Amino acid sequence: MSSKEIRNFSIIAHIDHGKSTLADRILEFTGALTDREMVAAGKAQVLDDMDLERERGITIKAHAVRLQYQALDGVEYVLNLIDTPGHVDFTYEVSRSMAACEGALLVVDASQGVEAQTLANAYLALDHNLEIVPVINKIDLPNADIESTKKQIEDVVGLDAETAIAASAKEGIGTREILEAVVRMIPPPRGEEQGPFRALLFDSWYDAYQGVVVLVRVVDGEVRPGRKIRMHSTGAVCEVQSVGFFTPKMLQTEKLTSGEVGYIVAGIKRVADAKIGDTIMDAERPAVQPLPGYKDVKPMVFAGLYPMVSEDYEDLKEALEKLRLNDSSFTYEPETSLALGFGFRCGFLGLLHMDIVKERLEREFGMALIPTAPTVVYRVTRIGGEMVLVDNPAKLPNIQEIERIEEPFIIASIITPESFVGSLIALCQERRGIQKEINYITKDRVLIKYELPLNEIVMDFYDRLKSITKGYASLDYELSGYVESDLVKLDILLNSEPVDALSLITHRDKAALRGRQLSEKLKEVIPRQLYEVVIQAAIGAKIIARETVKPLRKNVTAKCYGGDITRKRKLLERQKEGKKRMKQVGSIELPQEAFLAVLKVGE
Amino acid sequence: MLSLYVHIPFCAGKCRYCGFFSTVYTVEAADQFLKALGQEAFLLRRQFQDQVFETLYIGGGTPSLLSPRQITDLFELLKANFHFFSGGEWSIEANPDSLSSETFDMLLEAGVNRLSIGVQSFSDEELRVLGRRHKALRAEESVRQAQRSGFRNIGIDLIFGIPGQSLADWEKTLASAVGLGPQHISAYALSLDEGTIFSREAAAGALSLPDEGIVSAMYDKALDMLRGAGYGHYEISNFALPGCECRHNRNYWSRGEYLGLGPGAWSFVRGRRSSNCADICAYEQQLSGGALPTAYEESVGSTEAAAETLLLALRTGEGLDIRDYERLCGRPAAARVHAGAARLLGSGLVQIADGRIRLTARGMFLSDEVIERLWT
Repeated sequence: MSSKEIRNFSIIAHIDHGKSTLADRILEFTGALTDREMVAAGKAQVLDDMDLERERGITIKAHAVRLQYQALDGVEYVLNLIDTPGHVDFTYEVSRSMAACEGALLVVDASQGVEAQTLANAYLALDHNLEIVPVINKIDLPNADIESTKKQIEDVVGLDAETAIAASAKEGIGTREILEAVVRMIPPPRGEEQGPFRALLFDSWYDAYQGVVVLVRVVDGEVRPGRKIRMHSTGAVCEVQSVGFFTPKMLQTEKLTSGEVGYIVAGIKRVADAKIGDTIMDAERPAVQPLPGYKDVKPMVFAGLYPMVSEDYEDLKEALEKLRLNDSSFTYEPETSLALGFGFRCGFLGLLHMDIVKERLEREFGMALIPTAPTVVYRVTRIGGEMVLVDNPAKLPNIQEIERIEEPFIIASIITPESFVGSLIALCQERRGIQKEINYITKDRVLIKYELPLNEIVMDFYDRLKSITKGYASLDYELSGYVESDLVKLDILLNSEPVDALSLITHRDKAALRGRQLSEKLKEVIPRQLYEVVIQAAIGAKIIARETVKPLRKNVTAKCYGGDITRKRKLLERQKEGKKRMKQVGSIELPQEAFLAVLKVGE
Repeated sequence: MLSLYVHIPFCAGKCRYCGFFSTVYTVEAADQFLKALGQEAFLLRRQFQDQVFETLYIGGGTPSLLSPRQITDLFELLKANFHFFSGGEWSIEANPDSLSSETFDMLLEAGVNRLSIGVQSFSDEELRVLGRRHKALRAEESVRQAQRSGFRNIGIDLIFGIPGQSLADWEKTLASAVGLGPQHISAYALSLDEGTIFSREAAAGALSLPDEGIVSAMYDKALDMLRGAGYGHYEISNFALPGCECRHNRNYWSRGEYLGLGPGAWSFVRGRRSSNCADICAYEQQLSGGALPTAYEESVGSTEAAAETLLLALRTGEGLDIRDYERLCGRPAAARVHAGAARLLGSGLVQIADGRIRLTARGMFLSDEVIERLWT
């Protein structure tokens, strides 16, 4: 097989625009999966293989499938379809998947038009010099508007949509046209067949039987079992045990050569040793240059995860270890909270990533967790010039020791129906946003760009955005850098004792409001107790808000005779179960919601 | 100790706070019921033929609604089937609106030596709110009448925390009660029991109850005034002159055994708790077919027994004997309760003295909370 007959491409789309369904149709059409196998696979979307991915309708892990396609020109092509994660948290992974391709299908829902992630993904593809083939999907829907969608692709994304393919992945309309366009429009891979081996590692996962499986795009040379390979970023050397590709069944081959996409199994123990974006070389004949674009991805959002019951600490640790095997972008390290005891400070790529990890811990490992409010990483420069990274508000140095604090900012791109523009601008302003751009992309849809502090986003920005716009607006964002800000630590005191797990870092101008809102919310969620609970919000020694949860004065069963005894006893047993969901902090019993109260402010 | 409870499910009408099963009294309905009750007693007589009942409590409902003949029938059927201790306490519940001097004489003659009168309040307005059918004056008269008839052990029931009631109103009711000089006073905080008119009104937001702080102050007031008048506070809601504590009720709180007859009545015999079906029709139907009308039955295991001991003993003025508790459920469990109580010492809700854990007055009014914390 010559690399002239190879096409490497991915599908990019806004969430729910039909990416996975199109992938299924392509698999079917090329015979990679028979109808029967589609059914036997027991799920509609073959490339999304984690329950959570299917439930949320998003793709978390990239996959690559090799397909045989007999084109109308009579040539049989090898198509490598590389599936990409579809969420802003995984932008880096998407970019590495794209770097493994020469082209991309840009899928746009004909009834929705261009959305924020359509734009973000298309720009990312352009950055990687990919040939973009626009596909207008869901044309079977009654409210599909092909012409308007085309116009949006041209006006907003800036692509020529003349050749856009009208399709319905659900109905199987346009699949051949799409495949023909892949073959005709996307260039074949280029590389040095005879050169020293170089491959881009664009995905990896842990397999209980084979260890780490890595997905690669071979750029130059070839790789075979028995060869020694070296990871450029870590210098780790290992021996190739097998190579091959997925059809989506795993098939072993003799070798992978320049232009091909496939897997390598090389006795790697941890996913952390197979970094996405890394260059794999021949250990004995290393290439001179690594491939461009490698980044060591750093978590952007941090939160504490504590076991509800302190005896479960070891179980939580084990569960985190297991998760990390398969998800190197997630980090954790032990931390101790005065209020919550032993737990872990965990780092995530973003809020969705955090939700996924939390849910997997609860669902797959049966953990009962207390998560603390998410925070970003602050750069704190102490007087004297030393810089520390602070990923836990409780760890912020004393105000007297701080020279300055910088916080991460992002550029948010929001696409919204025109009628919500006013409310969205108000939301962005309220979140300390700086307007960058407002553009009509059609007569009734608007692209808004704002520069915003990430710490305002992690609170509840996305939920607010969705509720303000009734779900119609879409959001994408990218990190724009660190900016010095006037930030302060807001402490929450319960009966005069600071509760470290409730501290947060906020802008000075918003501290009073946040403190008030948070105190009010806590008053709502903390049940009345035997003692009065005084909730105070403080900046340093200054109290800025105060609420009181009045003590219970009466909780008595006035009559307890014959049959009341059984009822009362059963009630006692039930109450005991309820108590397990409360965390004792000093003499105060706090429900799980208290630790996330800051996210619920304003609800 | 073994007690007998008999539930008479008739009332002249439904009070707004009451969740007990009752039906409207007619002579025929009561006769039919007494027949079924006789059948129930008969079915149980063999099981209890070697046992002696130390107390008898006729409750309801409104037992005093029964006609003199029916009262005679009732006691006859009980005496015919069960053995009673000769010095036993025989109580009956009575309502002021259904008491005549004839009834008093009948009751005394039948052997009743303790009368529990459902006064509830000495304010006409409060009685109206509660849905009672008597006036304050009638309540006072009925107590005096009972005293004149020769009852030496009279208890009156009072309710506080009534919609619209102020602390001063409650103080007046307490003063009237003390003025009548009964041997026993029960003061119950109003609770919105399921199935009551009050609970429905409260759910609909149509009930304006006194503030929790005021109700708590009412409790303190009751303690203050009743203790001052010589009544001992021997259970959360119960006060008595020395030696006049209700022996029947004390048996419940010390986990003694009791047999309950009548619809909805509960029994606790040989480690099993059971209840009769609450519906009078089903009750009569079962018995006419020769079957006991049992609706629920459970065997009380050791954990459950420990929970019951804890929650019952802490209701009483005597409190929980830590040694007794240890014998019942082992040292570690007793130690946990002891430690839990010790943690609450500073809160003024609990006292530990003479090997006993007792709730303070404030602790009693928060007993559901406190007991929950001790039950670990």
